[in-house]
Amino acid sequence: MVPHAFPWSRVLLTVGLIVVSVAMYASVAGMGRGIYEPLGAGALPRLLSVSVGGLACVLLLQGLRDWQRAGPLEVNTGERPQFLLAALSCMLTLGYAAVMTMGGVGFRAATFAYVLTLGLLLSRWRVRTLPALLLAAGIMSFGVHYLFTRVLVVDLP
Amino acid sequence: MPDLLPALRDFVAFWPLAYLFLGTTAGILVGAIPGLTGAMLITLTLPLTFYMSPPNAMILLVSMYVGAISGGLITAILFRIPGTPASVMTTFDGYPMAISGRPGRALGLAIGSSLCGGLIAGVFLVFLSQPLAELAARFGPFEYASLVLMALVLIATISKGSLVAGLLSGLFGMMVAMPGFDPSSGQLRVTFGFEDLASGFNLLAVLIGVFAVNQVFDEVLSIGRTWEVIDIAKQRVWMAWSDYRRQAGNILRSSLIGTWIGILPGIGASVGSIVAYSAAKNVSKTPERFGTGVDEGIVASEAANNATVGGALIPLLAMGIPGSVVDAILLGAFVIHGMRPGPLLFDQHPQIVYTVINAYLLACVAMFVIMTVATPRIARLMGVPRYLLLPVVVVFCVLGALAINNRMFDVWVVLAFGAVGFLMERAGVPLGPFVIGLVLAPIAEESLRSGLMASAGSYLPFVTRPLSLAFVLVAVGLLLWPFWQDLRTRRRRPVNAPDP
Repeated sequence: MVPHAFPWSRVLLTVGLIVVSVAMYASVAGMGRGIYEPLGAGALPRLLSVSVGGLACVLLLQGLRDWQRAGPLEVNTGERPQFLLAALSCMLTLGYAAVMTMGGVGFRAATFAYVLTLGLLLSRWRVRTLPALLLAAGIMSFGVHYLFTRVLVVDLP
Repeated sequence: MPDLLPALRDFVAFWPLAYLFLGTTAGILVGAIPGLTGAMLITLTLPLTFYMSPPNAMILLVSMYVGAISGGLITAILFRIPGTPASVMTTFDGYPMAISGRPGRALGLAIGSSLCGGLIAGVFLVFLSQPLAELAARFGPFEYASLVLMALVLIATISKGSLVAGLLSGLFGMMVAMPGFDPSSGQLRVTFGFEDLASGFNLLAVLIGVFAVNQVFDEVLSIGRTWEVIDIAKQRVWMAWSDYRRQAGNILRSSLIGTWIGILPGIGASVGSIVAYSAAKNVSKTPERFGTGVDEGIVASEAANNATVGGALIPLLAMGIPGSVVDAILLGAFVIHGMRPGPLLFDQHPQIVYTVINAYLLACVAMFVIMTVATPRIARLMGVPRYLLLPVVVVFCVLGALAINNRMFDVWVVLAFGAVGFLMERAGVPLGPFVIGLVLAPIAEESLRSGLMASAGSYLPFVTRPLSLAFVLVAVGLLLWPFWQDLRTRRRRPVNAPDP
């Protein structure tokens, strides 16, 4: 399947890559060669950052030109992309990871709430999906927690 | 490989057989559900294999690989949606045949030719791996460095999108492999002050992000998509013996094309099926019927895409060079389990080589049995609601990241690379070269630097050693080919003709 393609994504990606390339070059700029080693630890990162930065500039110019022409880069699958839904799902997922990173809420509670909320969000808050979602949330939080901590011996937050 | 057949005895036990059928079934299911891919399944399963013996882990992963390539044909034929990119060409004739009232025949032809394609490639896997590994044993650091260079250029030029986008993707993949301890001097580099980056980005976390999280967000974007279902409950899914005889030439040709394309580093199953379909059309006496539901189209596409799996395993086992994105992930699986594919694998862990080859061959047979028996039921999976499936996949991504090193840093890496993968695909930058670059960068760097230490800093061995020179010439040729073609087209065009 052809994924959705948006003209702005090329601009965003290439600008990001240029920034990362500059940062990588700066971080290895001072690395010298070894006594027996002709290249040194910084050589390949320097070469890669210059190459990626250069190619990203070329692609950025192409992206800006395409954006001006205002056409999508590729044919998409036909239906209207759900940007708001995607943005909300993204924020919910970041919140899920943040809550577990901060340590206040454990894996079980966070996962239960996440699966239930995201499921409801994706089903457009239809109440009849609730039983299936509650079951899925229960299995993915309490069931998986049991499997990982007791059977596979992996600590979960 | 005299020990290959005796090694089959290892499969006469509960767990190997269970993993074989579990992996093949899971692969078929994932292949049959549009939006879920084999690469995604294998990356999400990798953390679970930490707790298995290496042979069992490889049986599970290889079976998933075989199943996932084949599963895509179900949705390609019944819904005109290729479950995997490899089954795009199957939609051209499979769907027209299905809507003309013969969905069972279309599925039977596809499943039968998938088995044949897989087994023919398996023969090459058995007989080519060892000689190729023996040849690769003579490779020095310069040969490896130039081989990696050739693989990267090859995948960058063949991938969909522009050459610039392909090269950028491959080099960016290599760049992501740079943070952490330098393999030669042990110096810390590109960590930006993050202690967690001292060991670099975890390969698995990056792969889960790029394939699984990215895919979830694309599915969310198109959550309203619906499909029309063709009922096959009362259809017989079978390819008759007479069909095998009639299609023998087509099956053999398509399988050989698929195997060869699989062997070439970095080119996936989708290219194999496109080339085989085109070849079948070119030799057909009725090429105008292609696309209307002809047997030859389905057979060519499915025999070839399954053959690429076996073909792609050959350079992976023999040289440690992945033939496709999934093979790059399998290379990561070998490394995680303490093995390095290549000539040494045949000396140090011959049992694993036999296990992988036998698992591949048996998974082809298992795929045939499972799909023949269960396709009508598998087709119903299209009805699994996305609101139930997608949150579960995200939780598996988080679990996969946590199982690696038990730290939240990897979860953030998964999410960050999910965003990167999402942007890359939407920007027309292919993911294939990125993964190949990521996996091959450490091999390329170690080979290049140890080679330069041995040659006192001289780059001459790149052109004085015959194999290295051959790889470099192929890489340069591949890089220049698009420009040469462009120049030729311009010269042929009349002076006053408008730009295309």
